[in-house]
Amino acid sequence: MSLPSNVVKDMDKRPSRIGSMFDDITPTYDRLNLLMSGSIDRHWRKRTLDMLDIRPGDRVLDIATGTGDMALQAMANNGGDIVGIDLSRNMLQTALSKWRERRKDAPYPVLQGDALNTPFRDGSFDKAMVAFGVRNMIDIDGFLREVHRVLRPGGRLAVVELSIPHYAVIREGMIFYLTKLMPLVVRLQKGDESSYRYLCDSIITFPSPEVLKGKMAAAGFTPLEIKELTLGACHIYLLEK
Amino acid sequence: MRLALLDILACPVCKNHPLHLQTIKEDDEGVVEGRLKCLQCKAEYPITDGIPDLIPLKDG
Repeated sequence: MSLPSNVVKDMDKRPSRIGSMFDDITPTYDRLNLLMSGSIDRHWRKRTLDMLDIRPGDRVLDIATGTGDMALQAMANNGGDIVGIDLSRNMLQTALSKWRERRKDAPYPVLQGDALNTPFRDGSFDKAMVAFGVRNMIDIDGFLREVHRVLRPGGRLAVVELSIPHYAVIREGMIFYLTKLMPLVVRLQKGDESSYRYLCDSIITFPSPEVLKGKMAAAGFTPLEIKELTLGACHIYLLEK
Repeated sequence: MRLALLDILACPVCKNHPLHLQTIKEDDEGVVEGRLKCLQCKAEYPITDGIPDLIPLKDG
């Protein structure tokens, strides 16, 4: 697939850079997400959670928990004891505020940490999930190995990530949306244009589902189910340790 | 930081478990201000506003 010439291919994904970028965009993050996605991300998260099938009592790691949307939807869906980890302190503080407003009945421990070097014992979790966070990892192979380490044997990981559709017309439409329309929305909403430019480029340059599947198998996971959603604009991967 | 987290926390650098908790301030949700220490590699991690910072190394 050829990429638009102005797309940055070698992006700076060092954890400190990603953490401070998300710290900076926290104030506008939820509002811009809603405007740009039209809430379709809620549907994609719901499908992911249905596949992950969290049961009461499951200990679940929510990686790149961000402003807590995946954790909140998980609690509304199935329950489980959710632990959130993220590089950005500002995102975590927003997540905790939202959680306290909506879910006073259940704990939601969060910590600032790096998904490539998590602060957990081997086999600590029954399930793990990452919604729209894998494309920000500087080392996807290392990330997958680390999640494999902290899952118990038989534990499951669900990954949901945006992708560029392989149907030509839809692919061109999505690239037009990401490179032309989205920057306009961000500018009108006074968001941080360079950060959203990074987010668009990170979608366009993210490895294809075929490449990702190979990485997952190399990390020791067995793919249970891979779903293409919305004509290939999003993929869900359900994996077992 | 909720105390139940201590059951699963390990040092992000050397993976030693458990981490030693030093509490400075707490409320009904757990530790608000404090410090987590790894007694093996001696790394220390602050807890501020109830959120522990367990990022192992700043990478510039």
